[in-house]
Amino acid sequence: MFQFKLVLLGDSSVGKSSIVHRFVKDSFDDFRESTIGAAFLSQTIKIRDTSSDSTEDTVIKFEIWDTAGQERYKSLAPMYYRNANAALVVYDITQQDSLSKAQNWVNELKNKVGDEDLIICLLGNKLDLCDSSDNGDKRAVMTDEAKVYAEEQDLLFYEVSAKTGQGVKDVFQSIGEKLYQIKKEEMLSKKGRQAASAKDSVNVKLQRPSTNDPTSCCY
Amino acid sequence: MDLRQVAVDQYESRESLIRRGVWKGDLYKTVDVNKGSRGWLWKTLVLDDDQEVKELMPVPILTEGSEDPTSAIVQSANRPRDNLIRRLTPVATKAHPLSQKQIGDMRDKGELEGQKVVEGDEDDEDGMSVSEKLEIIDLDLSRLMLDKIFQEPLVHARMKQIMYNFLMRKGASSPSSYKQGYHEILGIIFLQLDEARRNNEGGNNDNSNNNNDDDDGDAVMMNQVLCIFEKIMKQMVGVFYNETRLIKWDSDVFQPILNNSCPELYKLIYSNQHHHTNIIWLIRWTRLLFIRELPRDYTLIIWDHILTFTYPLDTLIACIIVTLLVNNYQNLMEKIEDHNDIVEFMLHYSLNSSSMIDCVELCKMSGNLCELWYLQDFTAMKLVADSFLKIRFNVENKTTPKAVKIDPNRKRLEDRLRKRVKQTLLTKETK
Repeated sequence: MFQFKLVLLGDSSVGKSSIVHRFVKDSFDDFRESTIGAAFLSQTIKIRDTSSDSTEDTVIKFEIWDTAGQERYKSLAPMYYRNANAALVVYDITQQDSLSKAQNWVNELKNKVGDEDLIICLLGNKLDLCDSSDNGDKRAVMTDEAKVYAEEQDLLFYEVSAKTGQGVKDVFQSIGEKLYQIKKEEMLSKKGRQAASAKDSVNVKLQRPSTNDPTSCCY
Repeated sequence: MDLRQVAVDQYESRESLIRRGVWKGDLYKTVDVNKGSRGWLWKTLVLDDDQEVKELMPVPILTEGSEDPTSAIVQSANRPRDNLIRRLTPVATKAHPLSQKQIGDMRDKGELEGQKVVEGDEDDEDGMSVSEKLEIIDLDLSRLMLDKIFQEPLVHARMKQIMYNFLMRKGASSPSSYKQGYHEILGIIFLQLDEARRNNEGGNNDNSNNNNDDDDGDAVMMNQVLCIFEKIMKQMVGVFYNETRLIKWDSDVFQPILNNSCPELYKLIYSNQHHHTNIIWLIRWTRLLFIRELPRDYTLIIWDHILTFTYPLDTLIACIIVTLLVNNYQNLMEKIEDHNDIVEFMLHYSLNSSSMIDCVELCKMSGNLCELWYLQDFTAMKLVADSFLKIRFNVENKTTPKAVKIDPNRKRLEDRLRKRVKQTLLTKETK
């Protein structure tokens, strides 16, 4: 089993906690109390490695840190995303200025974390409020606008609805697969390094008797 | 039994009510304080007899471009907010969170480990306009889940008005900074006094207004809620709601109290911790005064003790948390492997906690630790915790003999080793 730390960031009331609860508990509440500081939840998913012959799934455990929107302005925010493997930057697609605030978060992550392996996913929430025939389309942030930005910044991008569950599992599945790939490559290169180092050490042993071993006949 | 009657019959003064009734726990033996009478108790404990009733300022309705509360349209607490459009996310902030000043502040705080502490009050530097503050207050109040009454428009408007007045009184000419969590503390106080008023138990104590007019009664109640809120927040805002000072409180108060009372737990929780990891859970524990961590009735008894203001709040809260940790000594020793486990344990305390210590006993032990801390009697602090642990283990010895036979440290190491072996095997299997 692999374990990864995932952090949710974004402004107040964009639906961070609702996304986590949809993923972990498959439930949604219209009213959810404000997160104070941070909340912690965990969930596992299964990954099928298509590149290998193995038919068995790999289990990935997400340690999910759901932060308070207001923590953005404070010095403690880095504490939440320190050592994170992935970050979900959430914005509200029904709020005009929400994407620009998410962009501030992306900048902050890129400036402060400095880890090239950190996966950042831009996530537009409240998709259920768009294209709804009853209440009219409340979309204020166009998909293309966010998508172009995500591509420029090399981010994963999704639009989801925590209320209906649309797209939520796909986000975590996709992040899990990407993290698994990174981990696998990391392990393979480590293995390669170990093999190379083992080879080197054999060479050293072979050379040793000819130089300074007092028990050697060549001494 | 009626709380007021019991109080009048048994306690000759407020001091006696505090000493014998609350701290000794006599009150809880004779009266069910939860049945609408807590509001009366809190007013008696906190409010002065000659409490002046001031008219609360109405909340301004600010239009685009108007940020001056004095020239704005005002919204009465008695008028429901039907025609207001609530924006879910506040407008863009004026101060960029990564501005040079903010980055400078962060750098300063990063040096805290070297004991350099910024004493300035960061509260008034949040860069939010009045309308942004009111929006976020609206938003938080609409998500207040303490009781269903907070979904009533009138209650919402009253809460907002009290909060606005609190911020205005705290700031000089404009509202001071608002932080998430204020609303829940206010909510708990409002709930108790509103319940008392609804049960007609709180009204007669008011020396300024004895008439039965509903509006006057509401105004008096709102005033009382604000006064209690102000008194408690006076001690909380400067420590728990200010991150720099919260970190300082952690290192100067909480950690030494824990270390002196129970070095084993201190070692477990604070060894090798990186960058104030424990602040993650301490934020919620301290800012909400256990509202989300402990059962409501239990928490309210702790609040009764807090509102006696017998000990400075920052010390009492530290001692209460230490006692709650000691109460979970075995659990913590067995379950915790790294700092993530600690944070997870503490953020889900109600699920992870073993049987709870009686609340009055918890407060008594915490008060005892407070006194010893002020006397700097560290030996006695350790003795208090050790005696408690001994009693707890003896109790558990009878029920779960296996748990005591194994040394918790050894069990923890064994569990850790077992987990690592399992993980290694699983990783090999996946290759």
